[in-house]
Amino acid sequence: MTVQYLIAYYYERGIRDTVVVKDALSHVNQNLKFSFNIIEDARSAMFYAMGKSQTLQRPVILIVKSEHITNCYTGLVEAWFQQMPVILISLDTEKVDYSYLDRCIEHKVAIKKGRRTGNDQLEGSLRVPGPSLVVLPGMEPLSASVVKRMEIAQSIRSLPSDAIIFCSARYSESLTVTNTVYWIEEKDKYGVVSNYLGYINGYEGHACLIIPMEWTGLDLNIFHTRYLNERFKLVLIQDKGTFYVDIVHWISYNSIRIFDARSEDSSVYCSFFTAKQPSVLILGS
Amino acid sequence: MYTNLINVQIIISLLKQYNIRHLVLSPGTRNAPLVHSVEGDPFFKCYSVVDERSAGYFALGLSRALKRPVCVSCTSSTATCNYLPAIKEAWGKNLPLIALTADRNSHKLYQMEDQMIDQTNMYGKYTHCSVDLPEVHDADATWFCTRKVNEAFDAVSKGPVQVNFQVSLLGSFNVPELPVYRKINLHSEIKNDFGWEQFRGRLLAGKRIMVLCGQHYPQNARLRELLIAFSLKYNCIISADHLTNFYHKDFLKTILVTESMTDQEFEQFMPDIVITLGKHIWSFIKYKLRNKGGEFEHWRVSPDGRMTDGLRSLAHVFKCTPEVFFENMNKVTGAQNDRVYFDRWRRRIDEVKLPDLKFTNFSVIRDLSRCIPHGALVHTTILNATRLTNFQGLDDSVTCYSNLGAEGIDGGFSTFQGESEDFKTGLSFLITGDLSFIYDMNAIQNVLNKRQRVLLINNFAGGEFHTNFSINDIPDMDLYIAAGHHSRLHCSFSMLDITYLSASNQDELDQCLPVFIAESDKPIILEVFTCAETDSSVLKNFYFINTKIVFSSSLKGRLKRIIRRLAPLKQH
Repeated sequence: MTVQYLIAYYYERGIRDTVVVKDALSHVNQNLKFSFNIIEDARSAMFYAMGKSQTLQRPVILIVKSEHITNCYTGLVEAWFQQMPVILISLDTEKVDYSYLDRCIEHKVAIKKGRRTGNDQLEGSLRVPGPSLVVLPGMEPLSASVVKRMEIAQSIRSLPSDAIIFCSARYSESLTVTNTVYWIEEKDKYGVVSNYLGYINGYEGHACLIIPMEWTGLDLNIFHTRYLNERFKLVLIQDKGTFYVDIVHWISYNSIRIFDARSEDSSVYCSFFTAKQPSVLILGS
Repeated sequence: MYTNLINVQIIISLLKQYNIRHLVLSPGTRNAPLVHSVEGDPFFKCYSVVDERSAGYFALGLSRALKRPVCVSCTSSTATCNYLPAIKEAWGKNLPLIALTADRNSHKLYQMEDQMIDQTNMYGKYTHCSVDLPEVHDADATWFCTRKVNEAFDAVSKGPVQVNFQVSLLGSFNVPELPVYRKINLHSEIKNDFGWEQFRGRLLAGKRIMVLCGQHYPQNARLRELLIAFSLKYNCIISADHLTNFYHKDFLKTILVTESMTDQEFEQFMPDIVITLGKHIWSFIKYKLRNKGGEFEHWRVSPDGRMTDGLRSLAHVFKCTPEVFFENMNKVTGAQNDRVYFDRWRRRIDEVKLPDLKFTNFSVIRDLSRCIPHGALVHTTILNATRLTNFQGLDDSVTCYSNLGAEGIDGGFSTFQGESEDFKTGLSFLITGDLSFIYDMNAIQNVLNKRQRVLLINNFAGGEFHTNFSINDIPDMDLYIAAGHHSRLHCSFSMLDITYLSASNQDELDQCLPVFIAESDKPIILEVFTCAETDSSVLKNFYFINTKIVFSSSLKGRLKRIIRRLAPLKQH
């Protein structure tokens, strides 16, 4: 059974409103007749789908990758209390535990791999008043393509050699350094700025975080914090063709100095690391 | 000033004892008793992060940098759900994260309560331990919460854990000094370099050590030797009964006195340290100890490594076999048991008297016990059969067993058959009452063997209930509570190829016993008929004459109890 089949199944039964968490979009055939609502953050998407169902007074589908379904927990709990029929389709790109969700769903369908049967089970998701969960197994995780951005290496030349680097695995071929590097997989992209901020509060030395600009969209509130220090060094990379909201104003509003390589010359690279204040370096596409 | 909410005090006290000092706190009302208590205590380092999802990740980074456990704490409801993404990541990376989730009183769940969701075990398999602390209004709840928090804080070495704590009224911050709640030390990594020395030192300093053996099956000669060696070195007693299958002249059958001893008298026999080993401890000695919880230290030796705190005094759990423990404890030279504590118990046990047993289940089991042959297996069904057998002497070579784990009345006969099937070195005896036999009657269809002997004491009712309740108070007890009946069970054996014997008085029993214990080419069932009410009055009398009254101010209450014990005697 495929996502397409599921969407078609619900489409035939009049359920045509589908919200997709952005990183699950590549699993969905976009040649379908209707449009999707695409949401960056799975937590936000869950609440969004509930709100939509609320207004439309009918079921709404939400498609999320299993590795990020933990973010839907809070919205799902509210949807269960409100008895809103959100049909949460989990693309099982990673084997995860669903047991804890039993307290906030009315119906669960675990589709068996390679079988087309299960329609009678799917019907259950239409009958129950509250949210339901449909698990679609064996979805190949699509790894984000590795992006070659040679200016990354250039930009961190003035980084102390003992500094620890946390870097998105997306740029694994762009970094040639002797520093200790921890690669961050796509599945761990939520909360990385918070995680980094916690780290530099427990670590005396230098540490730097290099991530795609769009990941900050999963963690915006953390810039509103008391725990910034001059060792806060965040490199944000604007990748080609990626959708993003320019968050520069929000970041600078929180007393973080912005070094924008999109509008300044390459000398910003040096001053970024030496600046005695929390800093963000932005590399353009 | 600290909160007066005890479940929160327990968390804080144990955080300090486990040396966990970093907390990432999110705003809220429900967790304020915790937050305001820790923010005023210089031991703790607090951080404020508003969104719990971000707070979880912040704590993750902090914990990774510090290489130490970090707590997150938030108010009730969906706030707690937001920890899940970080908890899942912590689980995958084995990072020590403690979610201290505040909750409302569990009775109010889904009862029109604001900000309340089901927070019990809410992170599924992503936490290594998840505990739920009720509000504390009595000693039982304090005991429960203390153990639970210990379990959680110990498990954090493996990865994330959750401690959910219920708060209804927010309490007051009026406690100037934080009470210390008991830390339970789990020694789970016992290797060659383990610091046994300090524990030997503790035992050598002890005046009164009680080694309390639980059920062991089968006999274990090596452990027995280790226990004997231990008993010579330390000021201790080794408490064992038939079910432990440890016999030695200096191992004490405390069960002979503890079942009838008053709490007041037990004070004179209190240990400083209790070491438990083996499985179930059936003797009431555990309840005597439990009533004095906190006045001694309990060291538990078990490969399961669980924090089983039934004596309310658990201080150390040694996750190893008793053999490893006693081998290491025995590595002392020159130490010798001064026998002061031992003699006190020994004298008390030597004073035990038997009343006139009449012809009762007590006397029948005594008579059989005297002649159970060398090397036999004895299986007793629960309650009276097990109890009365334990009050008797048995040959040292006899192996005893009873289904004491969950202590169900069912399945005794079947278990006995399974054991006896492969027990080929001697006769095997089942000592059972009528109710327990009727429960498991289907087992008569199973293959019997000629080495099996069944002593079926039929007193036409559940005798236990005649002991627990007085027939004066509940005259129609036999209707339901004790399920009285008039069946002689021999009719159920008519189809079997067995030898059936029966006895209704001492003479008949005396004639039957030699046949019963002799070799035979068929299994033998001996059905003995007694009277439930007489059986229970003799047992009560046994307890009564062995109870020592220790006078104290509450004499009145004690006299009342004596009168209550006498009541059934008067009837006969």
